[in-house]
Amino acid sequence: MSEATVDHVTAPEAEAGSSLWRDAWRRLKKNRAAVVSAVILAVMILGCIFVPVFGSHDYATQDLALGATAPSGAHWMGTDPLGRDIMARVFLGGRVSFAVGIIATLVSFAIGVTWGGVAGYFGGRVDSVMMRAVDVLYTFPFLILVILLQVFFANKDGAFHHLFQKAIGPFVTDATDPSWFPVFQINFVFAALGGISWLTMARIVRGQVIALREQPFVEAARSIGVGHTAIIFRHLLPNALGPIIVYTTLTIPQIMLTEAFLSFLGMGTQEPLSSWGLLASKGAEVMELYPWMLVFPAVMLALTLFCFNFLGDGLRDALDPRIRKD
Amino acid sequence: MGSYAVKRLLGLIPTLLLVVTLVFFLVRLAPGGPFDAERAAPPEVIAALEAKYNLDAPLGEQYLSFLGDLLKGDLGYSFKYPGRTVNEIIGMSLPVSMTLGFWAMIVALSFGIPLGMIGAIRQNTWKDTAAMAVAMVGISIPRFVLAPLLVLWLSLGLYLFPVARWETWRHMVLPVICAALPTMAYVARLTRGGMLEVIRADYIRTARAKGLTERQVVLRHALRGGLLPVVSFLGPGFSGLLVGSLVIEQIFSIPGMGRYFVEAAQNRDYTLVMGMTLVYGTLLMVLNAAVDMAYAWLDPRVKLS
Amino acid sequence: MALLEVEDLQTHFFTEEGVVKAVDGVSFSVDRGEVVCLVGESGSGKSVTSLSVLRLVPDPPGRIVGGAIRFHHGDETEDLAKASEARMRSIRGDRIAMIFQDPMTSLNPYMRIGQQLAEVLEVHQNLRGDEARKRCLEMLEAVGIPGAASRLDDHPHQLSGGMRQRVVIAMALLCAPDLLIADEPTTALDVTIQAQILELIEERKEQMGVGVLFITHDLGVVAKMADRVAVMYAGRLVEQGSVDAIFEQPQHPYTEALLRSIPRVDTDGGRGRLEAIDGLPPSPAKLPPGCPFHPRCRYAEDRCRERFPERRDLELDGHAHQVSCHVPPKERG
Ligand SMILES: Nc1ncnc2c1ncn2[C@@H]1O[C@H](COP(=O)(O)OP(=O)(O)O)[C@@H](O)[C@H]1O
Ligand SMILES: [Mg+2]
Repeated sequence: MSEATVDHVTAPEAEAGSSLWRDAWRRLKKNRAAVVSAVILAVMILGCIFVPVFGSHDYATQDLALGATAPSGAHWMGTDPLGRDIMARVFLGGRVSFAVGIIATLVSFAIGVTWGGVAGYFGGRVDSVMMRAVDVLYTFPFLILVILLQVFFANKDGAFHHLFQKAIGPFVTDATDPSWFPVFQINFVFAALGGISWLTMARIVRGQVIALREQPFVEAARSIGVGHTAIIFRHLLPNALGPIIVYTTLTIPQIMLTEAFLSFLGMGTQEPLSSWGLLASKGAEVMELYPWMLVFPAVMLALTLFCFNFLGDGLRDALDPRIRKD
Repeated sequence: MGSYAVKRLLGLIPTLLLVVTLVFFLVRLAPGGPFDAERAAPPEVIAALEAKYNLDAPLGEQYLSFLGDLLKGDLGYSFKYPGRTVNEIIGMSLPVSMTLGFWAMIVALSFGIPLGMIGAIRQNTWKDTAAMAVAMVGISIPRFVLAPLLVLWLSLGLYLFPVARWETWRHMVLPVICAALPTMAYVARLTRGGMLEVIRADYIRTARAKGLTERQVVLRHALRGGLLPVVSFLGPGFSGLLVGSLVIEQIFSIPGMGRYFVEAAQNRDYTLVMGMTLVYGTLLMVLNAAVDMAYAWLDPRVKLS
Repeated sequence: MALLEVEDLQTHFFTEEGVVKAVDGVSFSVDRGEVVCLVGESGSGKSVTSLSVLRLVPDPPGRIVGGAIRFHHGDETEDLAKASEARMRSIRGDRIAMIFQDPMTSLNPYMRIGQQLAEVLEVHQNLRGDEARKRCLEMLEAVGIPGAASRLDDHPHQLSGGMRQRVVIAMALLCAPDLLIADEPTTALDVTIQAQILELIEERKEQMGVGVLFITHDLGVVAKMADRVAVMYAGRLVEQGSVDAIFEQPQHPYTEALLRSIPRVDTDGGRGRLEAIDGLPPSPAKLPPGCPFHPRCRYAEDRCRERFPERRDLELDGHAHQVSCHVPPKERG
């Protein structure tokens, strides 16, 4: 039978990788919600960095004589019953919330990408054992475990606290200073939240790597003797980047939300530090009397989550034209 | 399918055992004990208490006797609610939490699916934008922010619903809404995404080419494939509801498992923590297994093995 | 009288990048009991043409912006380009049926074969239950599916590609349509299965007298199936005529180039290199001015760059023949 199909007369133009990113960038710029979200997030992050530095109030200074006051010229977001400035506390809380979201996401990113990359690349038995583990862990009541860990282990003079003191000992003048304790607790939150959020990332990366593994450029790299690690990290993962970026963007708000949830239950960030979840929880207790204590942190948290989600959606639409809205 | 279900449920036992074992040793290795609060109590009293709960025995022995009791279905006495067994507490609080979770899931699905379908079918119209804006708000506002705001507005402002407790259906309205909203938002987004994917599929074009009405095309051909992402979400969805119930029960003073669990963890009520973890773990795993089976039933290409 | 007459059809896509004139002034006709093959490179607008006939072009972004699609059945003639959506629904799957390219994806994976077939009878003939099942079974047997009775309760993934395409054909023939549109029905199948499917379509054409609009890429298939051939390039029909005339006396340089790209078994045992047409097909979003083929045409002259050539009506071997080219074969250097 003749092999002559009409398509033989042309060679399809190969789409260059760089134009893919350029197209994605162009599509993203056109998405107004995503652009506005990115700008708001940038402003918010800058605010969290600089307001505590240049603001006229300290987040921990109490003024019991003043007590709780509504927003005013002196205290733009009001004060709490201890007379502390809410705005200073909200922006400090923002630092903590962003830090938890971003650092824990990086932890989950590192574990998930490595796990999924290795499973997908080697395939076969390695893959099935590693992904079976992910399946089992998926059904684990993780947050329950995190709560237990948080309650039972993130406490003063526990084994983990001592470990933390040893770890920072060489870098600080006095690791036993009690003011390091909240920092220890925060690190505990990072690790715990990062440790439970890598499963989906591992699945996504594995899928991508499997799809790319048989591509000619990987074969070529293998045939000239490039090692496994280099192939995974230099050839496969960069090409699987699109979905990874999208999922990472969507993991940050997820983790911020979880931190807020833990803090709300009194198991995340602890006084005198603050985080949006902690502030909202305190605010909710007194919302009838001092609604501003609930409203400001709640709005900041919701707005941030909102923007991250919009940005994540925008990135997905830009990087995955197949399901983009046109 | 039946034999698969049995196998799958039996397969959960090792995982559950792992979780239970982990928690058993974690809580006991942690610094601090259940009776720290009774610091004022003389050491003899504490010793007597520890003896009563078998806490003075070597860990291995405690573990074996715990497993033995577990096999008999006996979870022991609570530390903090003297005279009440863990079984009693679970027996009272589990139905409350299940009711809350059940209705929240019903509400989430029955609003989320139509919302997502509207978004997909009327893609890029104002209806789509509105539906997805609602969904975006739903996934961005935490339950613990939503709940106080709704209470402030509907209970304290408009006197429509009672503020707290769990007695009549009117008590259930606000907690169910708060629990359901984020889940509903996810369902709506997944439905829309799934439907959009499916609506471009070749077999939908085939269905149109047969002369079916748009309604028949959507209901008979698109819906099933379009809802598969929602079905796979049900597992995480249930665990999200369960975790959400911790907050909801706290805010609305509902005597469900979530409230007991948080208290138990904070009080180091070892036996109650164990019991609650066991129930949560079992619930999640059984629901996950059920979801997998539902998926296989909906998609004939999936083979359960 | 012709069964289907498409006249000056224009189907455009309104995209962010601009208006894509996927089909731009296409005219052809299909008679009863006749196979008309539509050929052309990928992206030349063949699928959009066929979807336009059934009004299944995705809207947005696509729309039929001009032309007529006259469909004659019984004593009636109607213009499908203007028919109501309800009217179109009653024609789709009943008077005009379509077979799509990829049998792996064109059946609903979640529905049993029997249900998918019976649905057609339910919609058009109000047949349900045992009656419908019996008709489906007969049709599956007629298209050569072994063990048809047990297949009714299978899901598509339980069938091979060839069997699935037979199911799709059975589905298309259930209501004994007047016109069958087949969009590359064998491209996704391997060669022996391909031959069987082609035979099946041909046999049905002869028995039932349906007209067939057959879209393909494969000139071997054209030689086997076609009564007449229409050649598309960049959304336009450049040449149309009887299959013999197209193969023996091609009038358009593009048709000529296509034919040269077939390996000729008789002269060099099929091992000769294909003579490729230089260059790429133009992007439909920005066509060159004049004849869209001129940048790749070895005979191009100034007038080819300036305006699109008028259609010329010829008669070759006693059959009507049309070509749109400025340069007649005898003037070519
Ligand atoms: N949904 C769509 N959106 C935009 N352009 C489309 C769409 N479908 C088809 N087209 C355009 O129509 C042209 C013709 O496509 P098609 O009819 O599928 O070609 P083929 O001849 O290969 O069947 C393509 O080049 C493409 O640019
Ligand atoms: Mg095509």
